Amino acid sequence: MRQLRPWGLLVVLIVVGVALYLLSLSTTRSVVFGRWQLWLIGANILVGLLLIVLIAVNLYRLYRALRQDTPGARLTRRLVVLFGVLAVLPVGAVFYFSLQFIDHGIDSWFNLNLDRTLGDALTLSRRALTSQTGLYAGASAQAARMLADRGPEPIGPALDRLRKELGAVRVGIFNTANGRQALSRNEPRVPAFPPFPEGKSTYPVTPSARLYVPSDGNLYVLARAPIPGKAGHRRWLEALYPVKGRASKLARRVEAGYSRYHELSYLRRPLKLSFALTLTLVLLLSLLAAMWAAFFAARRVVEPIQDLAYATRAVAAGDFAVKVPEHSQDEIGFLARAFNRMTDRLALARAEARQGEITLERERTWLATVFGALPTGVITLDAADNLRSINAAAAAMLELDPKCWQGVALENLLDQRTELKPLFERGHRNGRRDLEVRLSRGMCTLRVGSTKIAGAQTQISGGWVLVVEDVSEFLHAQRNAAWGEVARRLAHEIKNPLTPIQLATERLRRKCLPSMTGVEGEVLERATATIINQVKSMQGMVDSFSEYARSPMLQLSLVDGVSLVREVAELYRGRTDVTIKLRIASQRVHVRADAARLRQILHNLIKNSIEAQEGTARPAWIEIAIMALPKGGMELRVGDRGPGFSPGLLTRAFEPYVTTKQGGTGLGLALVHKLVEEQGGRVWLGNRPSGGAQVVVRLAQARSEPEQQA
Amino acid sequence: MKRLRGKVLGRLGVRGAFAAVILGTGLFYVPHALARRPAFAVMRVHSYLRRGVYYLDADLSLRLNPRAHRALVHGVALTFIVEIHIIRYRRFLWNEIIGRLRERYRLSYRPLTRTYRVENLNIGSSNAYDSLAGALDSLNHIRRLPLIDASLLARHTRYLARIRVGLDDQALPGPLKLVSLLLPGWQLESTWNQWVLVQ
Repeated sequence: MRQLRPWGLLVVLIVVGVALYLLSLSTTRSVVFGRWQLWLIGANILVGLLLIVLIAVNLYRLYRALRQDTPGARLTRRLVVLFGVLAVLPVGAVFYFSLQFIDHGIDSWFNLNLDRTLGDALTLSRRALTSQTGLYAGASAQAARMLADRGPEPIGPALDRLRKELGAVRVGIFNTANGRQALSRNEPRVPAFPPFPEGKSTYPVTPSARLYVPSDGNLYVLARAPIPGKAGHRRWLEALYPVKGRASKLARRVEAGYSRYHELSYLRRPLKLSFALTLTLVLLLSLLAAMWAAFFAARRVVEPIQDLAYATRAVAAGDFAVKVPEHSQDEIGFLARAFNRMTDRLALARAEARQGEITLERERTWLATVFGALPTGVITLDAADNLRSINAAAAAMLELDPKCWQGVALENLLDQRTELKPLFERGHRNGRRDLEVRLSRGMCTLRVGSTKIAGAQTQISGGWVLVVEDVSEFLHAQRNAAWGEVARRLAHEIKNPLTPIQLATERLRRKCLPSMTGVEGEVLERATATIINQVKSMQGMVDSFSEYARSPMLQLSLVDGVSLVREVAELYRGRTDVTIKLRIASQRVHVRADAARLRQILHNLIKNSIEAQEGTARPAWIEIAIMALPKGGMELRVGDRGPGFSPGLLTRAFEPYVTTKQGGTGLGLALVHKLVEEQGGRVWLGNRPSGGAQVVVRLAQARSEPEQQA
Repeated sequence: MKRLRGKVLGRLGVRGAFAAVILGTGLFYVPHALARRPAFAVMRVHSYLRRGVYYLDADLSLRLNPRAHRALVHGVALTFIVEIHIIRYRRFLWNEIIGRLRERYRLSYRPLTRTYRVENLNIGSSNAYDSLAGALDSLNHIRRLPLIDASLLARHTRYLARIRVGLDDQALPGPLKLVSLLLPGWQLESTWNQWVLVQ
């Protein structure tokens, strides 16, 4: 936006004003400014043209602004039209009434009566003087006759005498042949006779006299009379008489008045015309200047509004840094200041809001992180039973993809995951209960607590918070601890009497058997053998118990899973009753674990599988698969072609003394479970799709493992 | 506005309004071609050297158009200017004006005596004539007008002189002055007539 210059306007207006003033002076006071009139008119017209150009430029700009729909253009147009009308109406009125005034005013100075009166006065003066001229004509005629009849007196003295007698100031004799013939001697400073028109003298046939005004401006009577004489020699007398007394002065005054009045009367029309022209020029220039000033003023008025409009657009577009110039002290200035304050506050408010948003976001992220890091699963439901949030622990526990299910109606989830139904039963909400849920990793005991959300805000209240904990391991541990204690006590309590029983039986056998023969000897031998065997068997059972109860220090080291599996499998190679098939998916399976425990786990599982297949005709078939987990760690699957786990057994197989085998202690899988858990791993049972049982052991990689490996 | 213009036209007269309109539009230039034939002209010039002074005899032709004549008989004095330039001829530079003469004559009408009066404003002499023709005739014949002292002229140099006669519009009364600028018939001026003063 171009900066407006009020000084430019002032200068132009002053120039216009001065030009117009000089022009008006030149019209009325012709002497001083008269010679500059043409220049002044030219200058005024030049200024006018300049103004026209300026107005045209402004009009074009306005037109363009209107076409482009620039803010403020329509207001400018309205203001210019308003100012223009406001300027034109008074100027037009002034123009009209000034013309009327000039017309009537000037005409009123002149009237017919005055004109006639002055004409009459002039005629009267002329008559009065003409009566004198008649007298002088007569006197001159008489003098001419006297000259014709004069004697031998020389002409010069005769003329002098004649002049004195007539009372003339100058007397002369003229002829047609050579013009002037003789002149009287005159008083000093007497005007000359008038020259002959076109250098030719005319002979006055009859005496005549007329008024004559020579260079000195005084009024004289010039009388001419023919001098009678011979034919062919024509002479005449001319005499110059002063008009004396007040008559001359009055007549001259009347003539001056008449002349002046007539001149003014004649100049009336040019005067009116020149006044009208000057007025037209003045008003035209004023009008043009007013029009231009209208543009100027409109711009001055509109500019701040335009600034405001631009600034408002900027603010609407979100730019609060925009500032409106605060030049004036008026209402517009006040508006600009108010606008600037508003944008400042808006900017501040937005900054605060942004800061708040950031804080809120941080809090939210923090909460989400905490929520995600919670080892307990948390699921929230809204009042309409839609899943609002599922934290990472819950997702892992329930084997859900939170991204898929977030915001989905609970019904849809339960349609696909029917096993989860007991978790969300409405009837059992608002409480805490343990549920056995069958998941892909096996049977899990989940402890579910649910609480109704009762917040002050309506959109949150009515929902539910479900807290899910996988307590299977905890329960296992509890049971393990209990069973361990039982086993230890059992071992202790049984082992102690077993040795004396065995020793006593052997002693009995050694002492008594040689002395007994026949049936008695056989009975003793059978009975003692049975006692010894059962004691041995019981000792083996007690050893198993003590082994279960025993938990030596964990010795973790980096174990090569593949070579460990190969080593264990190698031990069974020579046996005919078992075939072990290795499936090694990854060649490098390193895991941080206790190698001895790992071996025992494998042996227990293999033993368990062989025992499970003992009833069948063919040799036991065992498949051991080992693979590295994508996130580090190792998975070990031991499968067989036995009868597999019955559904009832699946949930309880890891508990001690649960066995389907004759003579089994029920400690094999319980021990495996214990050993795996001691190393931070997980183990679960399942059945292979093609039949047979499968045990999966998963040992997670310790977090620092990759660095150690590297 | 139309009605207003109509009224204004009625008061001012068509010519005045026309002039106003012309002035209003800034096209106020009135070509001299509107004057039908040259009202003022220089018919004959004759310069001669006598007793070390160059003199001029000139015959002019001054004709007053009806407009000027009307102004004259209504008491407006008309001033005529006979302008004479003495010019030094220069071959390689522009010519130099070495002397300017402005003879001013005033012609006026005296209603009391019904005479036309011619005043030589330079020397203050005046004469009265019964007819306008006589008065103009006295103006038409310029005799023994001293131009320049021969001693002021350089030797072996060509000098030119030129003459023109015109009406002095600056001497007109104020209102007429503006009108005379705009209306045809008031631009009374002859062209320059140049002759060789000294070969």
